[in-house]
Amino acid sequence: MAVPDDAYLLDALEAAEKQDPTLLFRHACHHASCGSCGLRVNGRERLACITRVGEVAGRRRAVKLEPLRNLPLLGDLLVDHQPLFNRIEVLNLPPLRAEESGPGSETPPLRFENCIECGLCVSACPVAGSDPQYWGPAALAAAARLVAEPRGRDAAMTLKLVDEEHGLWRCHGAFECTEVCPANVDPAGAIMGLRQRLLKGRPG
Amino acid sequence: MGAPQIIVIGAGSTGAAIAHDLALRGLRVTVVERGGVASGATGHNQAQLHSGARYAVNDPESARECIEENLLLRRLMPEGLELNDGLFVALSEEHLAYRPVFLEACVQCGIPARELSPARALELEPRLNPRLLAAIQIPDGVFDPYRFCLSFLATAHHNGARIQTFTEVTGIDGDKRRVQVRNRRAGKVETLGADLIVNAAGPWAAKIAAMAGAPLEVEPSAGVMVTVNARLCHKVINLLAPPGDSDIIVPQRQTSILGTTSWTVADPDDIAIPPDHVAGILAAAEQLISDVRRAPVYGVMAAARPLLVVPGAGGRTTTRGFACFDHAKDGADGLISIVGGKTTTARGMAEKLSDLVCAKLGLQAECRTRTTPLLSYRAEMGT
Repeated sequence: MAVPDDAYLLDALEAAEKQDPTLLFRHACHHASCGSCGLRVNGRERLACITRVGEVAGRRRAVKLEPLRNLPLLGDLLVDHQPLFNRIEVLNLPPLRAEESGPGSETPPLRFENCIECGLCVSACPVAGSDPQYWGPAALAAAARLVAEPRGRDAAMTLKLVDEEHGLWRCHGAFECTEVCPANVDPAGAIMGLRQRLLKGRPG
Repeated sequence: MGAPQIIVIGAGSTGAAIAHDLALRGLRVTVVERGGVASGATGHNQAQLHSGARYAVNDPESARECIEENLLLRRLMPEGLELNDGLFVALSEEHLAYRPVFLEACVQCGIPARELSPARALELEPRLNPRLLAAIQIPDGVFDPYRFCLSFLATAHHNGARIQTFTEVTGIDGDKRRVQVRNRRAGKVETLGADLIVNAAGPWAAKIAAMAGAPLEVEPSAGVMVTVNARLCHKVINLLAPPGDSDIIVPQRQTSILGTTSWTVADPDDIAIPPDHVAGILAAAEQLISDVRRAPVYGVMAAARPLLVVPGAGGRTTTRGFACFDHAKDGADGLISIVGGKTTTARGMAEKLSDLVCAKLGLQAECRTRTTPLLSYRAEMGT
């Protein structure tokens, strides 16, 4: 199968699917917004839709594709995002946030949260691999967003939920999550920020 | 005796909305989808919640459907929409001449439209071309096509529907009302029986109907979209002109989706993106927002719209409207197809289709989707 260097990995997967209809992977938006096409390319978490084949093929003109880790595997490159969705849903994070810059408008513009819930961070996280009860970087980053901008939700309750052994305090600070995040969410920074907030509020 | 069993083929916006409608009416629904949710035409659409303004002049019926559904969706999935409105922007005398026609058509279709001074438009959207001559604000919005479908499917599942993704239809006996599917995860071929089969396969609907020996005309019209990794505007920016190529910029999350083009393809599974389309889209977007090229290109995609073909003045023509087809006349009494429409109008399309399902089955069941809020896209879907 010939794939040009400037083709996206997702285009290559779709071409491969035509030759092998048993190949399983998820995709929808093709522009890094739905978060459904995450996978591991040569051991690194990426979204197939914005990864050019030429970036990852190397001299040997080969790539190693594996499914995301730390989410239930359904087959081939297909994982189930439901446990991740459930974690964020428990926090009740509203999908909509206020736009930072709303110049001159009566009401600030709204936009979807930056996190696309793709699970790349969960896959890259060394702790998520060893502690199945760990909240994981995406959900903890979601908690930080809710605390920063509660939008009618209960920020104190959110903080309490993640202030536990398998929550904020389980993170080793490997920063792998922030490294692989395709949406610049910086989950590790969010986790450290929430920890500092809790430590400040605690008596010596 | 249990409730009638309906198989819905396709988990794009049409199939997802139909599953929701039928499940709310108390029917037993199974959705079968070849790939994942929204992996076809819906998934990579331009994500524009239409106000209908784009169609007001040339296709008022579609425009009316859009504004009605747009206003309903605001209540049904308030957290699933970026509601920052849209602007139609005039950049030339020709565009200015179109303004009264456009405004009158919006009034006729019930689309609230108000003029902003160019200065005010620039205040709201500082990156707009400063040479703009006029701006009209209309209630466009933005959705996330994947999550749009997940919300409908999760709600359907909550009401008893089974959602079988990665399940490809390989044969249909329309008369005996059986669907043969290949479960791609288990590698198994199964036969599913039903009281009715609903074909909501979008641009693939003609292929599905053909499996039952039924003729169906769908025009797969491909469109290219270029996404840049920057949110260039808050509102959907449209060119104030009759609908043409590359005249819309849709901001979504941290990106902007530029597009689109339109050409008929033979096979919705085989769309080759013409390189000149990408250049053309960037050049056209540059007219609306001049520093478009400073944002890195993030993705290039193409999807086939499933256009409905209707007999027109000069032969056949297409519309953004939709129609339901009962294939009883084709010797496939158990098969109904739905063709055309838009993601914005999916709920309304599902209502009409489900009315037809109930009429065929002799059921009295009211549509309840106008007032039933949708669950979160994160709710369980059962797959």
